[in-house]
Formats: sequence, C-alpha cells, structure tokens
Amino acid sequence: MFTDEDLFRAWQHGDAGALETLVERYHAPLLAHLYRVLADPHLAEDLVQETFIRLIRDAQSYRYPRPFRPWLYAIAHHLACNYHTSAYARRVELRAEMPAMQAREPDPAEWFERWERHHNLLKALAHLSIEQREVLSLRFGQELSIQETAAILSIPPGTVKSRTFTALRLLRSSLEEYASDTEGRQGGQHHG
Amino acid sequence: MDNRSFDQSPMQSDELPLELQAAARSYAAQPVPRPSSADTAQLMHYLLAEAAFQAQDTHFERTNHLWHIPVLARWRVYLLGPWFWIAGVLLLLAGILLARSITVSDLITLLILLLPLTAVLGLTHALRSPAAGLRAIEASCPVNSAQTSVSLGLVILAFDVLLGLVATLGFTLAHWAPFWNLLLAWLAPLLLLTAISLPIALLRNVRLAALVGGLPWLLLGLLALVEQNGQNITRLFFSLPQDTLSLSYHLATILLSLLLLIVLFTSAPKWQRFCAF
Repeated sequence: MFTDEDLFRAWQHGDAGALETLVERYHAPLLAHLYRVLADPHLAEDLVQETFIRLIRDAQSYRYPRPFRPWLYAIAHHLACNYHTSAYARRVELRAEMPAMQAREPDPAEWFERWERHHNLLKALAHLSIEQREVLSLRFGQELSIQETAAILSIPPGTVKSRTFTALRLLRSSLEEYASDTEGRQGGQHHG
Repeated sequence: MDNRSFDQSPMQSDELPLELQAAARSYAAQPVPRPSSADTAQLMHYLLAEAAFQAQDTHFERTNHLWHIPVLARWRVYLLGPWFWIAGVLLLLAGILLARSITVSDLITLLILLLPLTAVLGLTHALRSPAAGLRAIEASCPVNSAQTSVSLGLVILAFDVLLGLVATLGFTLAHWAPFWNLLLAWLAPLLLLTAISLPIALLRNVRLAALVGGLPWLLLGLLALVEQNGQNITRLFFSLPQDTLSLSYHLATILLSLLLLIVLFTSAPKWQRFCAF
C-alpha cells in the first residue's frame, strides 16, 4: 500500500489515480473534522472541496517526504479560521439535523434520544472557541497525536494539552447542565 | 449530502483524567456526516477539472509573464509618487556636489559607492510593508504581490542604471574616466547588491535587506574615501577596472547577478507563500 506522501508525489508527476486514492482516503475524515469544527455539514462539504482545490493549486510547493496529512489538515485549518473570522460577528449556527434513519436503527424512541444527545452536544460545543473545537476534533475525532495536532495548528504541544483540558472541562460542565435540563423536562412530562 | 449517513469514530483518551474521559467519549461518539461514494466521485471530477484549468493557467503564465513586467509594475510605480524618483536623483547629485573639492578619483569612488546604495535604499523603501488598502488592491490583481514586487524592484534597478549611464556619459565627456571601465565599475556592485537585497526584502524584511545590502558597502566606500592613497583592499572595489583580472571579475559579477535576478523574476509566481508580507 502506498503512503500518502508517495501518492502525492505521483500526483505531482501527473498520476490522476494517485489523487483519486488520496481523495478517497481523506474525503470522509476531512468532512468529519470540518463538521466538528464548524457544526454545519454543508459548509463543511464546501470547505472540504476548497481544501482539495488549494492542495492542487499548491501541489508544486510540496517537497517529498514532508508528511502529507499535517499539511492537508493545516490547509483545512486555515480555511476554517478564515471562514470563522469572516463570519465572526454571526454566532455559530446550530444545525442539529436529524440523521437519516437507517434500516438497522433501533426504535424511534431510542433514535430520538440519540438525536437529543447529539443536539445537547452541539449546544455544548457552541460554547467552545473554534481553537478548542479544532483541538478536540483533531485529538479525538481524527485521533492524531499531540505532536501532529501541534504541527497542524502551529502551536506548541503544551498548548495542545492545556487547550484540550480546558475544552473538555467546558464541554463536561455544559453537557451536565443540558442533561439535567433534559431530565427535568422529561420528568415534568411523565409527571403531567 | 442531505441523505448522508452518520458514523461514529473511536477515541483517544488514555492520558485524560477520569472525570474528563466521559466528556471525551461523548465528543468522539458524535455522529458526523459521511460522504457517499457518489459524493467522492463528484468531488474527484471537480478536482480534475480544476487541475486542468490550473495547468492551462500555468502554461499561460509561463509563456507570457516576461511581457507582464511593465504592466505589473506600472501602478506600483505610480503609487510611489514623483518624489521617490526625484529623491534618487537628488541623493546622487548631493553626493557629487558635496564633493566638488575632491579629486576625480574620489569622485569616481563616490559614484561607485552611491549608485548601488541608491538602488538598495530605493528598493527597501518601495518594498516596505504595504498598507491594508494596497494589499486589498494587490489581492484583486490576477498576479500575486511577489510578482508585482519583483517587477517594481526591476523597474527601480532600471532607473538607477539609467542614472548611472547619464553620470558615466558625463564623466566620459569631461574626460575623467573611460566609459566602459566606469560602467563596469558601478554596474557590477549595483546588480550584485540588488540581487542580494531584493530577495531578502521579499522573504524577510526590508530593514534586514538594507542592512545586508547597504551597510557593508557604505562602510567599505567610506573606508576607501578615507584611505585615498592607500593600497587597501577597499580600493579594489571602488576604483576603475584596468587589468584583465579586474575586468574579468567585474564581468563575472555582472553575469552572476543577472542570473540571480532572472531566476528571481521567473520564479516569482511561486514565491508568494514564502513572502514576509
């Protein structure tokens, strides 16, 4: 199996198949990452496309064997930050879409509960800064190491650790708050 | 994408304190959109079309961009204002006028000292960090700011060469120095210092460019002026090339500098991402 770096070098030499393999490898992870950071699936899809376009435009600046994945995610990071700066005045719009129900999904009540958990998580994530959401997504969504995360975000590894802890503490307190709200509401409904 | 399915990814939370692991798990369990194979195929199709356009643009850029020099630099030259160019002439004239009482030999030294200095100072002034408005104008141009900056640098170089030619002609008509020897004497350091300071100004900052390109030359020139009759090594740089060896290294310096400037200009489209501004 070819490494990302080999594939990108092949693409630099005009091998479209190599690019196709890279796109297949990274389309889903990048979409997931940008969705986690921006909380908008449509915007995430647009930025994934833009990330790959930038990758193609800057292809000649790649020097083998520079690690490919941090470079790709650094492009996505810059695009997300640019978007966030441009839309800074607007608050992050929550779009807790109902995921399409699959044939193997459990019963509607359980499915709704899952959706509500997701909705609470999105509400809790809205309290985090884009920097904190990025760190969480790279560390726990993409499962990157502290060093890789630091390289992508251009920050020291110590900052990655402290930002992760702060973000998780904030997330935990918001999730606890929303969970108690939900329980209170459900308790009220059952009582009524 | 509207009918996307959602999947869940594993997590990495071993190093976390126990109380934060649950939050990390909730985060990692967040459903995320997953593109279908049709989405990926569509993206790939779009990317290949983009790559084709990109290849066309690069070809166009490669074949045409030498002709763009005057077009690229025109508005930057205009924005510098007339005083920039007048100041260049005045700096050169002031140096020569202040030295009316000195010998012809020192006058030549002064010309060799001042012409490259004028170019380096002019470059560093012209390439200092542009204002936000200027940056916005540059961003709207079809070419990048590295290209316009390099083009502007070449225009300033051409202007200083013109000044030097006029001065050399004057010296030749006054029978103070042979034309070609004097031309080589100032042209070599002028091109070399420009070729050194221009990339530094683009890649690092203009102060460093002025320091590297101008300061050693200024100190050497002053030393040459102070030690008028000495056989100091500095006289080698600030006197007319007479013998074959001296003529050869002046010519070699000119060729090397021209080569550097050509490489700098032809690779300018790729320099944008490394630029200091």
